[in-house]
Amino acid sequence: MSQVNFDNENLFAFDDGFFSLMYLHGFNKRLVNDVKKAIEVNRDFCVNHLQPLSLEVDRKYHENPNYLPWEMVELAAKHRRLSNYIPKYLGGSGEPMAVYGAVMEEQAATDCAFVGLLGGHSLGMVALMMTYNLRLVDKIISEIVEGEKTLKPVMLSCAITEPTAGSDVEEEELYPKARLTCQAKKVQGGALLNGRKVFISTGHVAKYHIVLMPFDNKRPMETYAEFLVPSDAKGFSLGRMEHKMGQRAGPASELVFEDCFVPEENISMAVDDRIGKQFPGQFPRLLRGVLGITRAAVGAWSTGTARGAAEHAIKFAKTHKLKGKTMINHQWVQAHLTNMVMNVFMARAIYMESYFANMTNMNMGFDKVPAIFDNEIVAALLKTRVYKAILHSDFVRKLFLKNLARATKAQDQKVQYAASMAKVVGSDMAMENCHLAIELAGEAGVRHEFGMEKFFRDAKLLQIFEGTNQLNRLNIFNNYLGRHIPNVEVY
Amino acid sequence: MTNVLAGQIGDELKPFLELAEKFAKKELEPKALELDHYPYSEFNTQALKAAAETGILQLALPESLGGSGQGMAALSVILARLAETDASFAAVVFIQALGQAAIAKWAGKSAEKYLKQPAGLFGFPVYAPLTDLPLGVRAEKDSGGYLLNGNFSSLALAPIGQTMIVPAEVKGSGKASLFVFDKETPGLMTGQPVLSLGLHNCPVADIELHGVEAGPENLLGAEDRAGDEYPGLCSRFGGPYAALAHGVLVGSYKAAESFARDRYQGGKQIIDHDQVRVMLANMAVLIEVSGAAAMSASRSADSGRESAANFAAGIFATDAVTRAATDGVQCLGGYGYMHDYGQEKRMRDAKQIQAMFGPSTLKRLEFLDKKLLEK
Repeated sequence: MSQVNFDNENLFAFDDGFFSLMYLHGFNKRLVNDVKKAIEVNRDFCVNHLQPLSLEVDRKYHENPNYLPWEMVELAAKHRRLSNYIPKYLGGSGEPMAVYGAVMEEQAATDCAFVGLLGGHSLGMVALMMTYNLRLVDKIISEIVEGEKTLKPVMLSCAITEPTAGSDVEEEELYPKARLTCQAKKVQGGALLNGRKVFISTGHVAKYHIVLMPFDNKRPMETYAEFLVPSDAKGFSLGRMEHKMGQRAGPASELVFEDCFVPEENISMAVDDRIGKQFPGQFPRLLRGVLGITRAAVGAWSTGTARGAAEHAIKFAKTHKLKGKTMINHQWVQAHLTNMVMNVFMARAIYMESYFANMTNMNMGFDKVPAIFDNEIVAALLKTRVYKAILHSDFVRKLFLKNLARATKAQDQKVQYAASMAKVVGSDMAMENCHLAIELAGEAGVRHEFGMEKFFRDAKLLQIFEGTNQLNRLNIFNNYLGRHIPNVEVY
Repeated sequence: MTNVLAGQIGDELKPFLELAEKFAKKELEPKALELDHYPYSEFNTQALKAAAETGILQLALPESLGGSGQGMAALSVILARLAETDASFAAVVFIQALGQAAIAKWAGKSAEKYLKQPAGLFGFPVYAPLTDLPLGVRAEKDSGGYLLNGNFSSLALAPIGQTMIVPAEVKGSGKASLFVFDKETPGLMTGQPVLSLGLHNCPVADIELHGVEAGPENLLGAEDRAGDEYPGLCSRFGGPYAALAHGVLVGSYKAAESFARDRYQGGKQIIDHDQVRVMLANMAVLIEVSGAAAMSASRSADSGRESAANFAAGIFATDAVTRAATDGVQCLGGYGYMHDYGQEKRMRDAKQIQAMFGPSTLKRLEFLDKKLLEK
């Protein structure tokens, strides 16, 4: 277990003895060093670059609820935070999956909302990558990486939620009951999209939108498709920007499609096209894969939030007095803070478990490339015409899709329940710690400049998105308890 | 239909509920969300004026001082109903009642002077711990009077108040005394409005005192006695404090129930999903219990039982409502997180209300201390 050291203000440091890292040791020794290095780099980023901006951006939004935090977007690009989950061999700044969680925890402990900005972007990237349409993946990655170099950030959004369908589009088994209003129509050379998507993270600052909608909204599972829509596409417009309680480092937007034309080459996936028909179940697998990754991520993000609240409370208790005695010397304060620290450890343990489940059960494929090939030289090689042709071929795409389909039902269930547990436990602990921080600090806790009230506002969304915690509980039941009970009905 | 303080109001209190209902619909409902951006929006001056005119603002003030001479029960009914629509303004009424009580109790002959403007608000240290008033202001004895220097953070209503009630330590005593000043007093400076989590339209500011001269008439109560007497003054308001939280919860419940009927997921109204029902059920139970606690404590105070026990209702209700109002947002999913639906405001307001009178565990410990003493 980590040593608690009040002097270096780094109570939650990972060390070799941390049980989840012990787990990784057995899996791949290199990863432990990768995690440590990534944490170090990100701590420097958080302390020196993110922290100074965090409260200021939140305050600007108070002043003007339509404020677009471009400085946060630029900060992310400058520090290559927009390509960190893109492997090095594909040109990204390349951090292995095991690293994401620790990095997200680190960032969220500083600014929960900043992770939200990156989260919307990475959700788009994951949803695109999991179509294995490597031609489009390659095109978008090149733009993102180029944007980081030129400081003209390219961000993605991922549009799933509709005004009347939230939880229903987060769960395969609920799709047939969903009241979907968005629908695409096949036309000469592509498709026309119609409808409205709401609460779409990063919408107003994204250059591309990864849009999921069916060709027939009465038969969504049989006709689902994914489209790449640039923000300047004809028939596409940005609607209102939501006025959120927190998570203000990035917008939540309404996306409006009015006969928005998407050319054939920008349809990243369609379950009823040539390749889709060869891989039945591709869309549910994509959905579950994406949710397995993003719910684990929300777990890490929530852990960071719980941790940030705890760190603020600890700092406060060290520097303030009650009844003439420094708060931290009151026994009830020590117990109160200890509860908060335990909440962080609980949340961290379960998200680590979920990441490990993803790494060992998901067969996403991109991480299967041997370490020796995961570098910039290979990335440059893949840019040459011959290799590009191979990378973009149906043959390679089918290899990935076959690999993904190889995961057993038991493996998939493990990914699902572990990710949902990470999300539910993490976000509940985050919300609880934010309650506890304010309850400890009282008057200071509700003042903006102390930062605790911002965590409180930011944290609430973690219990809501990526499927409400209520839906996730059912998902855990379905994939963990329910699987052993014959004739049990869920949903 | 769930009403505030359901089952707790007899005929004698019905007129107050009707008054509050009318007031909330006319003065608060149309503007509650729009004005929730203070300091980046205006203060609800119109409601303040109307509250002074209708007597809502002087409800618990003795008739001899120009008030209606009503007790805590009537105040609780009014606060609960106002808080259902806009907790910010309900908090203004609550804090004003505390300020008036302090003046009525301790200002003696000067009381009339401070109470002559019906809409003149009192800056009041409602966010300070009851038995641990911060002593950032030092009062030095100086030729029959005092010279005050220092600062006090988060004085409620300070940005719009006419009169400031400020704790200070008479130098060397280590004990708190309360002072009262007109806001124009030379050397008294009110800072920019504080950006807070909730109750945005119930403004708060830090104040600084630089060489403020005070005479004995500026002292509220006896020197060094605030530590002993201030908690008692506030404890009387335990019922109304609970009513404030109770009202927020009623608002939160109503919004959650109505959304849960309109919203379909999984092919049915979400009110038919057990997990949503359980959240609503918890809220419904808490509405009954917090309402009963608020009224029982209020009636106890009105019957002359000056006990710390009255404050327990407030401690319980404000703690419990913060968690329930968080669930109130959950019932609306993504919509709950957005300003337009008012539900996120209730969650923030509930938390801000809980932060009054100090950290919540400390409030419980202070209560136990008092109880042990009463034995």
